[in-house]
Amino acid sequence: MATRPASGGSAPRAAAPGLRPGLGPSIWVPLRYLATAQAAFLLAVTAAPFYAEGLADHYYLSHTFAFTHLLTLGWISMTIMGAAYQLVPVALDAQLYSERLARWQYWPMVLGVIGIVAHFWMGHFNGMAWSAGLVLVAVLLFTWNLGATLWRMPRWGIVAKHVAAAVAFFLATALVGNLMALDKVLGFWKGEVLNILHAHVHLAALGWVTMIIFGVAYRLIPMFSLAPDPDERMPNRQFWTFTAGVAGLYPTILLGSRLQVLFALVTAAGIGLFVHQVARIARARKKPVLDWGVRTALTALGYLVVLVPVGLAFAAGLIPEGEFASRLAFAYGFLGLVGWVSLTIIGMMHKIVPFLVWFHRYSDLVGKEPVPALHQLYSEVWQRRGYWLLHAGILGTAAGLLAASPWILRGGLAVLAAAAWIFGFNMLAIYRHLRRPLTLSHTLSPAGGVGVRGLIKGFSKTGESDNGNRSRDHREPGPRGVEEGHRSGAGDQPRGPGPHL
Amino acid sequence: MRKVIDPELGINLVDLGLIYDVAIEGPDVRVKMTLTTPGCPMHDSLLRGAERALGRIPGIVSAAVELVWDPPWNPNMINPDGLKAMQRDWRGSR
Repeated sequence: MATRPASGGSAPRAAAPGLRPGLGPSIWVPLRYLATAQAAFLLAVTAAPFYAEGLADHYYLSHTFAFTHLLTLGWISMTIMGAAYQLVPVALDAQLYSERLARWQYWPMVLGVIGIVAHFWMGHFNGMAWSAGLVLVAVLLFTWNLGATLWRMPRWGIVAKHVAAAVAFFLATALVGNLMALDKVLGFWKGEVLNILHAHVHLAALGWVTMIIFGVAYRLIPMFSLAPDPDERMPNRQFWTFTAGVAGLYPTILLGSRLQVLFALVTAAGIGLFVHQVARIARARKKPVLDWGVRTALTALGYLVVLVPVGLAFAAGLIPEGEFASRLAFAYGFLGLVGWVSLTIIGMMHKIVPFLVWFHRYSDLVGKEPVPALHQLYSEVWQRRGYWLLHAGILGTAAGLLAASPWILRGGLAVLAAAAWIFGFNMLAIYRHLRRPLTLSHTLSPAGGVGVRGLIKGFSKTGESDNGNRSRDHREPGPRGVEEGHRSGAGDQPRGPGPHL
Repeated sequence: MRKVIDPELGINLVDLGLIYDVAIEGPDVRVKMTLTTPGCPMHDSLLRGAERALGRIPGIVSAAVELVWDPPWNPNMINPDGLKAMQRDWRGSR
């Protein structure tokens, strides 16, 4: 019987408005950023327990800054850059301006981060200033690339507005960071050093990182939870409120002005509006139960909500200066960096990385043979264990920071490191599919995937999945094709009504 | 078309409610389908997958899959089997 795989020319395809296939760059562009970021995260959390005494001290220390920049630039910013190169074309439905720029940008970023971290650790500020310049070059290339992508769009929706503002705040953060680095060498900046530091931290954490998380969330949370896209009126109010708050916070914190409490309130209102929107999306979702990736990202939002009153109290001057204020500020920064941002990233990496790898490895097999679902590329069982360990580690470390206790800190950081390594193994399990894809001879289980056990076993081709199930779906289509009964890749899915094709 | 799953949701195209119309004229099949979102990153995979799945059915000489956006898909179009599969999938992950 002559059958024609109908991927040829006769298949009429009505493109959606603005929808063009292949908008994103090659898989290797975002992956190099994401893999490097994950290596930086593992390095930071593995080394941190050995630096517990330093973390029990004041946060204005060169070694602590080395850790902070390994996380903020190496882990968080590298992740956002990689994710942006993957997600911005999807979320904005626009072609990336230049894949080549994205490839070039990687090297000054990596060298700059290594230089900043190493020179902070050694206390060599000349080298740190040069390295900060390299990071600035990378940020300029990133701004150019995303700016040009946005510039060519006929209309900016809510995601585009957030991305544009985030990139502008990122550039501002990098410029300010470079001035701070030069000041370490030349000593020209006459100001209160802690105010300069606090303003820089808030500009980066709120203006750059939180802004882009908010924007992308408006696209991804409805997509992953099967909810309708939100009406843009309220998200627009949230955007302008939050942007105004962050823009006002930087100069007022820098100058130690009492007006900072006003802008802190405006920023808090912006965060409140975002939480309200997320709650509305979650209530309208069709997916009965959210997966652990989305759940991880959503619970991270809880840390942000807890941090808001603490930030307001600092801005209002309600916390008297002294040892306790210093400890609380350290815990506040840590919870923002790891509880809010890192947890969000870890949740989203369980969505983004499997997609990238799946698309590269399995996309061409769809319709020909069974392919794994995204969640089958890693171990959900270990993801769930890692989720609880992450919370335990974050809370333990925050308690250690508040108590200034090296022992509590070491314990909390060790738990955090264990959780991070579970995350790392799961990412490695996903990356392994690039070299050794699951094929018909492999096991696909409804939920377990190959995961950590598969990784440890070296992905034995005849191995079992985490829950030991053998696939019931790995049959070549028989003479009667689909009628032979290949059902949903998620397991034994009964047939419903509809055309029997 | 049940052979082609949405890898994010683990549910096939039929149960997701993405197949709007199937016209069979002798050995020729024309399918109208949609995607969960216009920016769906799985756009190419699902369309080509659907075409390949049709092309592998004995007796079909030509198969054409047309992507349409009217009416826009919404989660209420998932059929009860799709919803059950989602719940079963989640239970399996616990």
